[in-house]
Amino acid sequence: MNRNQILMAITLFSIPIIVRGFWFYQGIYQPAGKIQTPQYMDYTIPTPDISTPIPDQFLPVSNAPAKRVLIDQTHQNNFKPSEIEPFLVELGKQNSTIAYTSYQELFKDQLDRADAFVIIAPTFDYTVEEMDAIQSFVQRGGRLLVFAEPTRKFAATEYFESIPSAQNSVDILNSLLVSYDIMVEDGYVYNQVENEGNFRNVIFRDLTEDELTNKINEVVFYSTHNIRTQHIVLIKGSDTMRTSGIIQGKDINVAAKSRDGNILVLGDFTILTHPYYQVADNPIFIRNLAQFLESGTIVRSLEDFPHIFSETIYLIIPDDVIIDNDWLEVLSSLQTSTQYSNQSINLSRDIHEGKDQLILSTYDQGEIIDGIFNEFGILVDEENIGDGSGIISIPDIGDFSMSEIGLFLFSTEQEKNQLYLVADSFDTLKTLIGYYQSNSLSTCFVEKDIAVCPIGNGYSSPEEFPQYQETMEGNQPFETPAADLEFTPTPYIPLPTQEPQVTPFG
Amino acid sequence: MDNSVPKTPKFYTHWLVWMLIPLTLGLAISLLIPRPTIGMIQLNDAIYHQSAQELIKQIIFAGQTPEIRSVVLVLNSPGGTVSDTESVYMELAKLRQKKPVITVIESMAASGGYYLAAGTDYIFAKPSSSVGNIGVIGYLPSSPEIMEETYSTGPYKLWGAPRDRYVREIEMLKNGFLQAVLLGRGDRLKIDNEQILSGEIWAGSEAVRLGLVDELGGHSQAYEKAAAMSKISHYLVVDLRNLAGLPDPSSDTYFYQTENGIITGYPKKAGIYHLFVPDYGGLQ
Repeated sequence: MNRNQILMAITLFSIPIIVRGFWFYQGIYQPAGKIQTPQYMDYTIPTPDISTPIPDQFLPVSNAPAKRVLIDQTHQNNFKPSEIEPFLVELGKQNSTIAYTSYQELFKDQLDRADAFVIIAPTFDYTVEEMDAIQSFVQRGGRLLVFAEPTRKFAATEYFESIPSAQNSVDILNSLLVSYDIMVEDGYVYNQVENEGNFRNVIFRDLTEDELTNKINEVVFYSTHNIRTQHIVLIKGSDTMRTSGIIQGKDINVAAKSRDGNILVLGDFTILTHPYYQVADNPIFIRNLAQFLESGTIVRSLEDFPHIFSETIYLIIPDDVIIDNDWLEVLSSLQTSTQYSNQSINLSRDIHEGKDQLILSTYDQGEIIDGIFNEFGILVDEENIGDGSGIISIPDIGDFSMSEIGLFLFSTEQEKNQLYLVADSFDTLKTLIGYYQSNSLSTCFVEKDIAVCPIGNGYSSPEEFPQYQETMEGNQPFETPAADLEFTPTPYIPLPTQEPQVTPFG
Repeated sequence: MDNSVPKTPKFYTHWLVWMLIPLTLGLAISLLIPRPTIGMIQLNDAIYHQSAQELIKQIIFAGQTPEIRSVVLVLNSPGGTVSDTESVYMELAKLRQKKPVITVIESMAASGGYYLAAGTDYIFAKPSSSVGNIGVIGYLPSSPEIMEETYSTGPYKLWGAPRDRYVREIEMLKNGFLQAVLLGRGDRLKIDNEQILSGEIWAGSEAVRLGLVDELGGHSQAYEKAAAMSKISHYLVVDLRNLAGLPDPSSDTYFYQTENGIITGYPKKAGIYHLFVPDYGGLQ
């Protein structure tokens, strides 16, 4: 065996192996580098900056009288009062009383007694009458706070469809807000670049200087609609924000106020809830919202009757009225009727400045009524006061026999309301009190803040008016226990309007 | 004049032995060189415990079998649970240290499905494949409350976590997903984080433009790419499911099935998911 033979053998042995090897394998796989995976331990749960609660002792103490904040609960509002407890606490600190709308009473009547109205995520349409009532309320200076909420939806089925689809309160709110040039945009605002724990938890720092943004640097909204308005924009978006409707940056607004400042619309109500109310400057914002509701001044007129007083009424009776059994009956009946409206009566002989007052007077009580008569330009035939032939002259209305009419005169000053009931004698004054108790001036002629009511000539009380009996049927809350009333939420059919009735004297 | 010595039969026998025996031996031994194999792993389901365990078993098998030089992952999945997705992702990362893994997206690789795709070396998709939906969804736990007849040892023993923290955990998991995409795609990505995390689903052709997918293609292209990356030719393609000893796919599904047999896009159980729920918006 020589060397050539050995080489030949090795070659022949190797060839098939090499050929097959290269036939299948042209190299060895080498990964480009170490395969990297996320460093999961580096990622932590993002936590928000929690505001330091503002100590209550630094709060401005409100000396203002209690304001009545009415919160809508009769339009299938998609929230529970327990959810907005932080907001309710702030309202309480502002000395506000809180009430919820109820099906037990007409919406307008409830609104007439309120100083501020709060709407949160309604999912049931407002009727035309309700919208009119809200419009009138706002025009008179009532504060309206509206919260939309993109996360609160309800299933609705169109008439010709069988599958329910998700609806929110946008359309309902817009039908209410369109006349104020404020629109809630469907969709939601988000920010993927800077947010508070989630892209839909949006941080706002671009705030317009206003009482509502006072002492606020940063608020966080947890899912909010975009609000469009040409009026006052309070909270604006940043460049990195988007809406699901593809609006970007500075065009995003989540809080807007009407031109007159009485309507505030927010795209989110989650800020009022636990635990989000305490993030960033949200607590201060919630306080500002409560102050906004509290700071409104609603201008009442006699057209609001009987909702012209707040909770406590001072009943001023003339010094020379001796409270006998007849008067006792009248006063107790008056007390009962006012209690029905959650009001209380304090009896007094003296005028109380700065208080809600129901002042009883006869035409000859000059020291009481001179001022108000001058205010209204009312002239009295002073020589014949008390003999039944005196004439009273009321500007723009007419001249009347004093013995046959009684007057309701309403004046308001610095949110304090005074209603004068003036008649010819104490007996006719009692008749006038009957009008007051009836909660209706439908048989009187009402113009602005004067109501001229026929008394005497056979009319001893409004209950004796045949038309009155007919009109008041089923609407005598002060005489009927509330539990016995049968109320239905809808439909509301307004009572027939009474033509103003003025006895044709003079 | 021919002076050569005439070849005797012994001479020829001698050479025959010295040539044929080594050649035969060489041929015989060469047959021991295995034909290279590309392992195919298919996921035609959501990612949940069972499907994830089956995937992991096949991935481990591929890693331990020398003949399998590369793996093609065929995806048609809307994603699934976060933890199961992460489990498969981590096994894929381990396999890729040894063998290239190529993804071919069939009709969908959404959410967790794309999480897995991003964890492979190269991605093919069809022009109309649904790709993306990067992010996390979660169903919030109930608000903690106490009950008269049920006692527990802590406020969240019954409910798992505060609702707010649950939301924030989702954000944390999102960051892990994002990082997996950034690491997996690297310089090939042509979109920023905001776009990645938008949760959008893109068509395969658009996904190529955005750098979420490397190339349009199907199985053949995927095998060729796998072969090229693992430097093999004349390969076999085998379905690893049977080789790994797994039974045929179960007809059971982890999606919620209505009373009339309709399988919805919702998982049966509440939890946190890398999952695309196609009809969510219409049914909430």
